[in-house]
Amino acid sequence: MRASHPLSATAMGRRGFIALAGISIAGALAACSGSPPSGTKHIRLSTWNIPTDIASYQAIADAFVAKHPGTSVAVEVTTGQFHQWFITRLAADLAPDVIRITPQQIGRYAANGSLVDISGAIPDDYRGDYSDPFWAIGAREDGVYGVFQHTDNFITYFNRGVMDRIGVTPPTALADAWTWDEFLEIATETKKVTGRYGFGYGWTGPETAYRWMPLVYQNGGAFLGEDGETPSMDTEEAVGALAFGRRWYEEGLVSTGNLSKTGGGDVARNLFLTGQIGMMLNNPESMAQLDEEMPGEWGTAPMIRNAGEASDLGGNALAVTKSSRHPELAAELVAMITSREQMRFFCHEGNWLPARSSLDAEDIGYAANSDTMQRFIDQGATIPLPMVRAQSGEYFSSLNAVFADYLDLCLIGQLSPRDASRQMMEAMRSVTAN
Amino acid sequence: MSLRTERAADRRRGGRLVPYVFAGPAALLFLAFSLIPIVIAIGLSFQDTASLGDGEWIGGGNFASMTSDPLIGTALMNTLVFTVGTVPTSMAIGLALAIALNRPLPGRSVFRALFFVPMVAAGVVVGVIMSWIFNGDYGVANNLLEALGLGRLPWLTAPGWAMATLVIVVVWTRIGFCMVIYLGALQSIPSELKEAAAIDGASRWARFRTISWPMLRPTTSILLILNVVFSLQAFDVIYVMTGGGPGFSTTVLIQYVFRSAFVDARMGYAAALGLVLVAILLVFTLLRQRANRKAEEML
Amino acid sequence: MTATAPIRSSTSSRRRRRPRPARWLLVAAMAALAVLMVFPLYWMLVSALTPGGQSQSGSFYLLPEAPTLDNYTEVFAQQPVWRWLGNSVLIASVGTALSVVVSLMAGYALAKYRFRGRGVLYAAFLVTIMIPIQVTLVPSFLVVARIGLVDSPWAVILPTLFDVVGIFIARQFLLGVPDALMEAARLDGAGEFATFFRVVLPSCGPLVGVLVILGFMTRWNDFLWPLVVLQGNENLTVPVALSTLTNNPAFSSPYGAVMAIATITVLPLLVVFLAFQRQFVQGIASTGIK
Repeated sequence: MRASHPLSATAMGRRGFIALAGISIAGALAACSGSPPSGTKHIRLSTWNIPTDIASYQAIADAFVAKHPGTSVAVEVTTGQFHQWFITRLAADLAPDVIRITPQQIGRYAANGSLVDISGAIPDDYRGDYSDPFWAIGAREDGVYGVFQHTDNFITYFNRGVMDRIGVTPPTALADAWTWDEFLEIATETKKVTGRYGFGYGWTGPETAYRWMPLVYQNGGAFLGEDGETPSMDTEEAVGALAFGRRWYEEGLVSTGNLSKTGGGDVARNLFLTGQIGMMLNNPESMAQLDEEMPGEWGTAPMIRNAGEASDLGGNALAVTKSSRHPELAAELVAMITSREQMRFFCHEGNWLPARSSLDAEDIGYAANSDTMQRFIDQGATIPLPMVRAQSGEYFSSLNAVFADYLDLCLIGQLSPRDASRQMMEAMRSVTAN
Repeated sequence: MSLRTERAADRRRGGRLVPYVFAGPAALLFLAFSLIPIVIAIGLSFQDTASLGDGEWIGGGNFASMTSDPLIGTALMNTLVFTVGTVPTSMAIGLALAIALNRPLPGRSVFRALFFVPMVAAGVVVGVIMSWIFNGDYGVANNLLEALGLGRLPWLTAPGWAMATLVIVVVWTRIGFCMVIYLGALQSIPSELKEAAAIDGASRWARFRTISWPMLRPTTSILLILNVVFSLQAFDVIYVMTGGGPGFSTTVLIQYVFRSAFVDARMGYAAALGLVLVAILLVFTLLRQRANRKAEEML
Repeated sequence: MTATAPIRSSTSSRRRRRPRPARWLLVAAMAALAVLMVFPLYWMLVSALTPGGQSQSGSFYLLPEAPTLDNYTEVFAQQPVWRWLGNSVLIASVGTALSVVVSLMAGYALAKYRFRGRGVLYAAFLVTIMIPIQVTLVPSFLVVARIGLVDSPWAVILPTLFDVVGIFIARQFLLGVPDALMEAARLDGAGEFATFFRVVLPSCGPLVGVLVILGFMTRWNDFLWPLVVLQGNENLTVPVALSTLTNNPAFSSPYGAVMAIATITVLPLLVVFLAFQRQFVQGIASTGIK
């Protein structure tokens, strides 16, 4: 600021200089606190601390800056617990301009005015390249508050050796996916082979309790009703799903160390890597490590199913925050990152699944496991729209905590499925009533 | 004591200002970074608000809705169990070690250092290491038990056990601190006192009871208050190791404050809960001080 | 163990030295406990040196089969670990140095002067220990943001300069400094500040030692506050950086990397502490926290 000023200190005398510096500092603070000198429009983008992704975002940002002279973009990392970090920064009006945020986190901020409607900057043809569920993540009645960038979901991983010993050939097509009963039968056999447990589930902490919600939808139930607001965990279908989950632990098919709240990273993956389980329901993240530590010994099958199909809604959207001084420019950056070309680049580099329908594994040209990536992409189509609405709703953060509590109590057997359902409903109602 | 000092000081110009200059920086920092935020937080506790500025004043509404919140009872009970489990244990073990190491013992300076070592680990780090060690399926604790032919234990995965494991972990981090403070206090007890008692033929136990223990009372009192504060505010370790689970079995009050503030975005309610926690601490401290005064009068 | 020491000693009441076997039994018990106390940190180091597969296995081992520095090479290559360490060193040392001065001065005022508001001030200071940071997090952040400090190391340093425990310890110690010392200096014509800096402070060596060690430790390990005010991967302190490796909902960092960073958080402090522990214990003894 001071350096950019045309007058030099000596010419003005000390006192005048200090006065001017003071005024210009005050002016600069009022105009755009934290932005670099000489009228450059500065955009900050915050992402999770994944080295490859940081590099990819920076590469896209550089291309953006080249197209928009007079701008600059910095890529930052999101620290600590997301909500705590974001709420605090919003309160001080210091949130980054663009934020990478999960579908489960976005609802509150889209509803309470913390995110900005970016529909003006999103080209018309974007909507057509998104499935209804994936578009619904950022779109609300009054505008578009985020664009889904990449996704992931759950499929079934299996240990080839274990399947051979049981004499089972896992299905390959979605239509042939294992039903709950078939799956538990195989899991029971698997447990005999491993000598420990049958399978594992890919939670990675209390915030990820929602990853179990597809089971409710597979049984024809729903977490919230049609309106996306009314709790509906009291249906027979929902109770049935809870009872199914309880069996996992009652019959010793899943380790009690493998629950959403019990921490320590991806427990299912660790159990799978060390042969303590023979199958796991998990997302694509595990693949790199599996390739490294048990190459050729693992395979994948579609996610399990029951009356219906469903899988976990993973991935991230990009949104513009109300702290942004240049919301239009930030929205343009979001549009660029979620363009077909950049999405292809980002997914290729980081091994992510594209949010756009028109991109498949071949387009992206994954470095490895292209077939498996395609399986994930296909599975993504089974993520139900009502579940997306429920999870990207205003109160989901609280509702997810409630879901974590009572699911936990049911799975470890402290509450019967019916009591868990009843108490979960009570707690959910007190959240939505607030 | 300092009456004369003061008069001497006053003789100089501006003498009365001197203490304010010395205390000034601390007082200013206190004002800016403690008092103002606390006042804002108290204001928040009477509002219904997700963050700041958009609040609606609801009087005692937040405090009233606590009475119908089913989780609070559980959280208070867990907090009590956790505090009672960690505080006396850490202090008793710390004291025992301090006594043992306050006499000539081979390698005592090594022991001293080693017992204190856990204190240098940050809460986050302790949580990460311990959830790794106590993992039921591949943690070293269970692997060792199994290698010894004993069964595996549900360290973090069964309700009663999870709380016990957390208590063990927290005691582990605290022993060293209690030991060092007690050791310091023991070393400042004049050895003539004890020697005189020994010559009089008092047993070690009698000497401890009649000389050391009463002289340690102020130390015990401070340690007690500090430990209770630490326990009531223990967040990182629990957050990382159990996330408050299984079920609600390790959800303590501070956990619930955090959850209300950030997971539920009810900043006002969280502030009210936090004030309840502070009130509990204040009452405890005042009661403790009264008990102390009584004990001193009795001597 | 808690109870056995005194009970056993009572049986050997009048002898100046306890019988040898009991003494060695005590040493053995101490050694066993020491192993337990150190084991978790040892295990952290072992896990950081263990290649991925073995660390998650269900079988018992005390040493990694093939210890490797891969976890370190990888995490140092991917993350700005040196920057993190530099930030931690800067924040912890500058913060400690300044806060020790603030605490000494405040402790001196509270211990050696009578002034209006002293009691209230001291009581107010002490009460702040009881306020959980979760409650004041957002308001504190607003204050810091208003001053315009966010994203600079000062946002961490400045608010933590006020250190109640430090002030408390300083006051306790200074209460024990004889008034005669100050009297003498004043009679020699020294001003109040000269008295403090030239006469009182030089007799406070152990106190300063304790304040420095405790202050450095607290600041190095501080988590929640730096987490909230620091931004940008390059600007984090080590414990906060550790949390960015585990907070990610779509990606869990390999455990080896987490453990490697964990050792980097703990080891520097451990070295400093082991080097100064003797002075620390003696310092605590002489500060008279009682």
